[in-house]
Amino acid sequence: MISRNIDENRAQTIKVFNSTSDLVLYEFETNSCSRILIAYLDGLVDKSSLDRDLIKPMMENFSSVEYIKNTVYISSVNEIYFIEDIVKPLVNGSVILFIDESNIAYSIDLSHWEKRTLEEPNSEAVVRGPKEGFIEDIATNKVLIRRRIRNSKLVFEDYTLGVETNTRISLVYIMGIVNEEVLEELRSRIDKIDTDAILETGYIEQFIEDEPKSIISTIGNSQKPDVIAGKILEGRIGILCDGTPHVLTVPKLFIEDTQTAEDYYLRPVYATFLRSIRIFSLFMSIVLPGLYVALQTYHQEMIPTLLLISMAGAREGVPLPAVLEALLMTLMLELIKESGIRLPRAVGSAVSIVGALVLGQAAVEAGIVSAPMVIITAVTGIAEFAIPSLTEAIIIYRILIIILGGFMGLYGITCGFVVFMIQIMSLKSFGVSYFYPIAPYEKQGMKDVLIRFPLKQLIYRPKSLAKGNARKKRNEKK
Amino acid sequence: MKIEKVSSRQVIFLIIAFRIAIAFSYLPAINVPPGNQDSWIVLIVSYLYSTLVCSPLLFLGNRFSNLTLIQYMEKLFGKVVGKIIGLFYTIFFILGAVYFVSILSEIVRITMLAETPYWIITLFMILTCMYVASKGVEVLGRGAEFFVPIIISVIIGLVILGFNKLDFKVLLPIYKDSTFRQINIGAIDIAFKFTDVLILSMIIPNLENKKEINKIFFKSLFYSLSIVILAVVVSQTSLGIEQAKHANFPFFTFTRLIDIYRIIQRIESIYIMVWIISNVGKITGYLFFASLSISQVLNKNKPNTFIILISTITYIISLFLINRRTVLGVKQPIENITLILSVIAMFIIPLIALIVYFFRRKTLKDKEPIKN
Amino acid sequence: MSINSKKVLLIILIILMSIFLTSCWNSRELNTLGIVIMIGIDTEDDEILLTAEIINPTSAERDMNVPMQSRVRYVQGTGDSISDAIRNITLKLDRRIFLSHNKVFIIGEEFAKRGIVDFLDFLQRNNEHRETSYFLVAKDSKAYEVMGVNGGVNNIPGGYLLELVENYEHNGKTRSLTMTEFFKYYYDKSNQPVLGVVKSEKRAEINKVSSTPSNVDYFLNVEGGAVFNKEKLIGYYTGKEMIGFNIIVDELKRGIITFDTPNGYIDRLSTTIPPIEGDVSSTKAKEHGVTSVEILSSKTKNNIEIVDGKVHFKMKVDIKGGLAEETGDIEISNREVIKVVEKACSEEIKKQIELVLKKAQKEFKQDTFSIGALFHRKYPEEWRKISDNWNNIFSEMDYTIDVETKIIRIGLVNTPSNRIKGR
Repeated sequence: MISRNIDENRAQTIKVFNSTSDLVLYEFETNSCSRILIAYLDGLVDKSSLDRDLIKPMMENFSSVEYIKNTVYISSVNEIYFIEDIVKPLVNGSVILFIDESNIAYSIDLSHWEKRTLEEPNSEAVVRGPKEGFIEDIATNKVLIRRRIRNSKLVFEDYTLGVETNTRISLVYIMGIVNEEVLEELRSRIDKIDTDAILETGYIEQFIEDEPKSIISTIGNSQKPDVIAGKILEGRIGILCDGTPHVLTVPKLFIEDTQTAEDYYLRPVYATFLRSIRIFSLFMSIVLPGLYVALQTYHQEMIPTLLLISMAGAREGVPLPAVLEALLMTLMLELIKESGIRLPRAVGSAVSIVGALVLGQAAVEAGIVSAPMVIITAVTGIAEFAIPSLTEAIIIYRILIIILGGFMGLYGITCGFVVFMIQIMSLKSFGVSYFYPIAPYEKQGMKDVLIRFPLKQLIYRPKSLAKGNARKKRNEKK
Repeated sequence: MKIEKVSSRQVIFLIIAFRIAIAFSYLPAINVPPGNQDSWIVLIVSYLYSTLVCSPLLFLGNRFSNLTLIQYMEKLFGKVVGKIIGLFYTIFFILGAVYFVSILSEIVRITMLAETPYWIITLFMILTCMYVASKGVEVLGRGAEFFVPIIISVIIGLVILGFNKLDFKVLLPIYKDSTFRQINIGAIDIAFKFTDVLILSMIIPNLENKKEINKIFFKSLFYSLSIVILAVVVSQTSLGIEQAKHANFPFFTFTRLIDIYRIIQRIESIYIMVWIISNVGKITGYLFFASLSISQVLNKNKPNTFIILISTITYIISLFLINRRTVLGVKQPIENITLILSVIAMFIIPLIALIVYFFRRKTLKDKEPIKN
Repeated sequence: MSINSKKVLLIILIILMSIFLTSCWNSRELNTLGIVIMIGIDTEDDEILLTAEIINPTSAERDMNVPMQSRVRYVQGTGDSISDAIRNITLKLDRRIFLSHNKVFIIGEEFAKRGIVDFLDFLQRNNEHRETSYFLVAKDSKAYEVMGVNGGVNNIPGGYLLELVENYEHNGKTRSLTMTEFFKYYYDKSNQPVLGVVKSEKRAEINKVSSTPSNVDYFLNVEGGAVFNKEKLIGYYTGKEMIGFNIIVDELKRGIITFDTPNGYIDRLSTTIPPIEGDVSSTKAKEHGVTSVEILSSKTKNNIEIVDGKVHFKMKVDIKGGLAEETGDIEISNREVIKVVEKACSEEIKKQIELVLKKAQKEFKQDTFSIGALFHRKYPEEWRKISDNWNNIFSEMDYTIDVETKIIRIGLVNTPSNRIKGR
């Protein structure tokens, strides 16, 4: 209960917040001689607004508790009856107003804090299309989506997760397009999350995904509002989380990784070409080193004679067996990549240069690795970045394929390929088959897989995502 | 329990995969009588015989569209006889798996990994198939849907690459060197060698659209026969009639001939890869249906628990078999046994079941309305 | 859950154990292979002598300047069978013999006369070989005498010979038969295979002062064809006969037909060559020149008929050619002249075809042209009766040859260079 005594409230507040230093308590008297205490957390509120719209009118015009809403120039004023209830508004940037002789406190939302400006996310850079990306603030992110879908059917559904962090997360979907079963499933999974902290959407992802042990992720994410808008327009649900620019989308299909927002902005033929390049490079970046090892150690007859002779010449004197050579080079590539990301930018480029020189030239000249292997590794490394969203899975698959190819040749690779594909096909993301629309096959869905049909012909949403409402709406002709 | 659904398309592809697996290994059609340039006629004629042979099973499948082969056999013949028949089919499926695992190991050993011991090749195959089988019929269907188009396009691509090696003159004269009798014998032989309709009758309860059973059968028969005819014609025209008969794996030998600009050469391993994939489908199917039928014989609704057991049995038997003798080169006893078994499984038992069905039609209908 | 992950762990453990405990069985690292590029087979003292040309990859790749001798190695093995001989090579070579890239087989004449099919079984049975490797008979010599000769530009002798064989597209005087094709003909009841030929010849000395006696003074020649009676070598066709042969079997891609320029159609309107003063040799005018026609496309339609109980072979050849060379004194721009040239060309081709047909009928008494298969296609019932006696029937067979040549290109000039085109 809120005490009628303002001093007691002050003590209570300090006690609730464990005398934290960023808690600001300020007391003043109005013209009508009422004592007023305001409490807020430093840095979370807009101070000029606080002074101008709250303190000034209160000082000058405050008459009695009943007319408080007529006094302050602020839209969100809520009444609070219990002292425990002040925590949530306070941590979210509200100002709590205690008035002497009143057992009602008021929370006034003045939240304002330092935000990053909207920038182009550098992991999802585009040539054509909007350049702005999500930031760490959930309210801004909501605005970014709302600005793209100006529609009363766009719904945000807020949750607070994490016993300690009280992180705000929000589901976003379009009523009427979204598959209700998926939505229900997602709600129940979010309700089941039992954790003390959510620091990033990655936490949520691991709590709600179908197959935590799968190498490949069954939940999509993006940092770009236009991508998220496109996805929820297809019937998916977005999950925003305060404190991170990464927004999740469920359900996720395998083909999403090969699609980019740009595909739909560019001309269909070029988009199709880009998409086939992406699929090819996905295949290459997984299979190429393993295939090279298999061909080199088991199926030399498949290599053209002249190439074989030069490859054999390059391998003369290399001590490692091809499979170990491939593993070594792959791990080295990962090392360079990892250190390149983590190190400060200036040092990072230096490390890359040293790595490239050492791995590329010196290692070949010293006869530790063969030159073709360096080329293969480089090609693989480049191909990998054509599909950035799958990088995590690609590396694991690649290493497995190298091992299989090194010990069983193409037979091992084939068996491995079958197992990987079957594993991917058996996945489900919130009840939707992950490998839709290839298997299970669906004709309309295939129009957006390998070949990107002109938008005029893409009149259906993926049928498994938007059950019963797959036909896109058209403008009524007059 | 929620029944896993497979679409008609998936079943068609699954059956095609099953046929490709045999057709592209030792291509039996080349060696059955008359064994000359008229093999493709034999294949076309075998379409009729296949339909004839499979008609009892198809009929029963249409009548009992909610039950698998094992379940309606039990219903028709009663508990004891039904269980014995169910057991027979289980053994038939296991033997099928054993047979194909052995063939696969042998081909892989001959063509790719000459020094790798059999136990490791077989182990790899069984583990792969076990994994796929444990995912259930839905994933099996999806796998077929994804892989079979790849397999078919690779095969067609290989044919295109090797097109300049083909000499269609060897197919002449048509229907002059062989008699009507020879062609019919060959066609019957082939009709019995393709046992894929059993798969259809095991998968019927999972079908999305049960009215399409006949359509699925005819479509898959047509497509797979076309592919087999393609394989036969290509092997014969590229190698010559006699040489194709000499070869253990004629289409494989054809793929070895491909040589484009001296860059694409000796790509038979690619062909072996797609063939392995189709074989994974086939062995997986046999493992899965064997465990399904044993679980239905024992009235347990969990086929997954039996997969490991069945796989282990298959592994041990096939190792035992393959370390003792070659399955492919010297075909006689094994081929005869499989032929007799498949005649019994595909034709005789369903025929008896059909007769029994007509006698007991009334009583069956009284007991339970048959949904269709 | 935990049972499941234990299972997965167990499976992974089994796989890893099986991989690491038994090591990799067949991995053949590239630097352990002896890549064979050419094989020669001979008999010596009732044993098979097998010579293999093996690439030395270090020097073949790194440095183009290394002498030819160190780019390849020659190893020999003897044994009672081919596989035995190949295995015996490992007693002498530090690398594993790798046959998958072997493109050419050379069969010594002696071996070819003994019969080759029994050794071919190994090549069909073994997975490593390629069916597309070419078969050549070393004419008048042992196979190993032909090997090691590099008269061309290619780095290695095997590559040189391979290129020669694949030049059949430009010259109809040779034949390149791969293993599969050989077997196709071999299994055909009527037909006798004709293989390519290779012969080592001494080069005319170009620079007499600096030349040293070495292999470079030799080069290879693949002109002609080796005729087999099923599996035994029985004779050779010459290069000219091979043109006729290739036309009959409809395998001619390109080739030059040379014949005497038909005279009597000299264009009287044009001026004659003015005699050059002081040049004695020019006064002695040639009787007539020669004309060469390059065959651009050749289509043969063979037909067979039974006329009065006798087999009659009918050939219709359609040749499209371009005028390649003309040393005679004729006016090409004249339509009539072209017709005469065409006719002369047809006659020449007909002559060549007759030449080879006669040789096959009279000398070899063997059907080397798949005419029997043609008969089989047309008269399957009769074929059953006569198939065993086919070669006799073939030797008695009548034929008519009908050649039609069309000259469709005359090149950049219309009048022969040795004439001056007047008014």
